[in-house]
Amino acid sequence: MRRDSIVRRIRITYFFLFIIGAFFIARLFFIQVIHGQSYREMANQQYISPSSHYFDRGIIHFKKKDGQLISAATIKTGYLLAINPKLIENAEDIYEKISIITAIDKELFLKSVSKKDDPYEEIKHRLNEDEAKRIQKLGINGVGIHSETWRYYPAQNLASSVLGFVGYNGDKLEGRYGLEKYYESILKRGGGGNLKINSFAETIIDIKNLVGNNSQEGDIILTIDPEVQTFLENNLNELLKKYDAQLAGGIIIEPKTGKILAMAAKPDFDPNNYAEIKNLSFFLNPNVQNTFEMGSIMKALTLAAGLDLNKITPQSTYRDEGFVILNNKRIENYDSKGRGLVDMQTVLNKSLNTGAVFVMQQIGKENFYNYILNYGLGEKTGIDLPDEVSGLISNLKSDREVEYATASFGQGIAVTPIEMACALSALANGGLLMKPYIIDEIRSEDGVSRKKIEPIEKRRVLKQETSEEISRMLVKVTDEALVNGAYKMDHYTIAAKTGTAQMHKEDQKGYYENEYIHSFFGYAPAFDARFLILLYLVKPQGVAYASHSLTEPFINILKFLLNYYQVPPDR
Amino acid sequence: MTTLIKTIPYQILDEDKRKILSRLFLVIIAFSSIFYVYFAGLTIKQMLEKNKNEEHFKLINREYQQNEEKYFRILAQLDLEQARLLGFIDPKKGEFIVYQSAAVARR
Repeated sequence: MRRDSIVRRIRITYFFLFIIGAFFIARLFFIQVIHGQSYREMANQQYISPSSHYFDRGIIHFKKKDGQLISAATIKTGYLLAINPKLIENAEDIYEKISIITAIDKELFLKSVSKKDDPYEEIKHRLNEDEAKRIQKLGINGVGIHSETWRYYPAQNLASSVLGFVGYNGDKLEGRYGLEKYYESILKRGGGGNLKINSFAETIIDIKNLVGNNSQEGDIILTIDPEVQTFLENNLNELLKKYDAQLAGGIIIEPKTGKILAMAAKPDFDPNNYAEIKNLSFFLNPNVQNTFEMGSIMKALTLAAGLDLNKITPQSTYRDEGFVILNNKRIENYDSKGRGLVDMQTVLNKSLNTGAVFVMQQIGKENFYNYILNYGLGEKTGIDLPDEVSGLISNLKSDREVEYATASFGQGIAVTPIEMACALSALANGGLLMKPYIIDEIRSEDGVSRKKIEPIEKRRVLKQETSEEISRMLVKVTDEALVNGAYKMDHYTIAAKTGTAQMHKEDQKGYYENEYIHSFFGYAPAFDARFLILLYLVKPQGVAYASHSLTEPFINILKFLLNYYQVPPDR
Repeated sequence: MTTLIKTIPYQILDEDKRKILSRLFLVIIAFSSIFYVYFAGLTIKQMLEKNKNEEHFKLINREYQQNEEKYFRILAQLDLEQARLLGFIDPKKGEFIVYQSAAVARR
C-alpha cells in the first residue's frame, strides 16, 4: 500500500515534469521555427549581429608632437538597409518613403523587390544612425536595418599614399597598398573579433585567451604628425595646381634618427572611396616606389665626398670653361657659360655641372662609386613600407668617365626620394646613414606597448668634420645664392640646395628637351638639424628652375616646423 | 530513476526515511528551479547591461570620430593666409635668444 503510494506520487511528479518539458519544447518550437525570422530581425535591430558585413581590424594612429594619438585608419559602425522581397508589398510606395530619408537607386530597389525567391537583398550600405532610425521608425514589413562595420579613414586623402587601403583580393578583404599591406599580419583580426552573442558564448570564446594568446594582432602608431603632414600636403597641392605638374612629392625626416615626420605625393586618393580612382598609379607611393634623376641636389653629396677624402676644400679652384667633353660627349653648365677660375663654394652657389665633374675627377671613379654605394644609393633603405624599389645606378658599372661625370650632378642615375632623403641626412647629422622608419610603436589590442621602434644607424659615411664643412657651404648657398639670398633667415641657419634635371625618356635613350624634374632639399638649424625637407616636382609647367618653384614652399614648411616644434634660433 | 527506486528494497526504508527522501527530491527540484531562474535572470541582466555599455561605448566612439573628422577639416583649412584672416600678425621685431649647439662647432 505504502509502496503503491510512493510509486503513484513519483508518477504524478513525472507527469508534471513531462507536461513542463512538453510546454518548453512547444514554446521553443514556436519561438525558433514559427516566429524565428521575426525574432531574428528584432534581434538584428537591437544588437550587432555577426554577419558578413562585420569587419574588424587594428587601428593606425597618427602621433602628434605631444604624444596625442589621432586615428589615421579606424573602424566605423553604420547600418545596412536590406529587404526581404517576399514580404514587400507596394514597392513603389515603399521606395518613395525610404528615398525621402536616404537616396537609393530606384532601379536597383525594384529589381531587388522582384526577386521573390530571395529572402535577403541588400539595398544600401553605410547609412548613418539618423537615417537608420528613421527607416526603422517607418515599421515597414520586410524592410530591415542591420549593423555593419567598415574600414574608415577620417583624414580622407591625408597620407593616403603611405596608408594604402583595405580592399578585396579575390574574395579576401585585406590590406592592398601602403601600411595596410605591409602590416597586414598585425592589423588583421580573426573572424568574429570582439563580438559576443551572450555570456555562454563569451565564456567559450574567452577560453582561447585564458589558455594563452600568441596572436600578433595589434594597433600601429605612426611617426607621422598629422599637423606636419597636413602642412606638407597643402603646399604640395598648391604646387601641383600652380605649375600644372604631373607629380608633387615631399618627405620631412629627422636626420638624426631617420624618423619620418611627413611623407606625401600628389595627386593622391581618398582611401574611403578608392574604387572611384581609375588611374591605379595613384595608389603607389612614389617616395619609395619610383626612381627619379634628382639633378643638382646630388652635387652636395659629390662635394661632401671630395671634402671627406681631402681631395678638395671649399677654397679649391678650377677653371670653368662652361663645358667639358668626356668620351666624346659634351657636358655643359645649365647656362652653357664659363666663369673662369672658381672655387667650390661657387660650384654650389651657381650649381655648376663642370664643378661637380671636376670634384668627381679629383675623387676618382672608383672612390666616387664607393661613396655612392655608401650613401645607400642603389640600395633599398628598408623603410617599413611595401614594395620599395632600389635606385638605378647600373651606369656606374661602366668604365666610361662620362657616366660618372653625369652622376656627379644627378643625371644618369635614378634614385627613390627616400633613398635621397637618407643620403642627404648624412650631411646633416654628422655623417651617419640612418635607417628611415615610419612606425613609432606597435601596441597589442589591450593598449600595452609591444614594440617601440628605435633608430637604427646603418653606417658612417662621412667624417663629422665633413658634415660640418658641407653644412657651412650649404648655409652660404641659402644666405648668398638662393634667389640672391632673399630667403635668408636672420636667426636660423638653413642649409639648402636646389636641383633641376631633364626628364629621361621612358624606354628610350636620351632626355626630353622641355620636361624637367625640380628638386629641393634643406635642413635646419644647419648645425644641429632637427628636420630635413626634400621636395620634388615632376614636369612643372611655366617655371624654369627649382629655385623659382620650390624655394617658397620649402621656406613656408620650414617656418612652420620651426614654430610648431618651438626650435630656438641658432644665430 | 524508476528502476533505481524500484530496486531499493522497500523494507529497508522506514517511514521517516521515505519522507526525507521525498522531501529532499522536492527540495532539489525547487532549488534547481530557483537557481535556473536566478542564473537565467542574471544572464539576461548581464546582457542588458552589456548592451547598454556597448551602446554607450558606440556613442562615445561616434562622438570621438566626429571630433576627429572636425579636427581634420579645420586642419586642412588652416594655413598662414587663414591665420592672417583670423587676426594673426607676423612678428616683425621679435626678441630672439640664440642658443649654441654643442653638437657642432662653427667658424
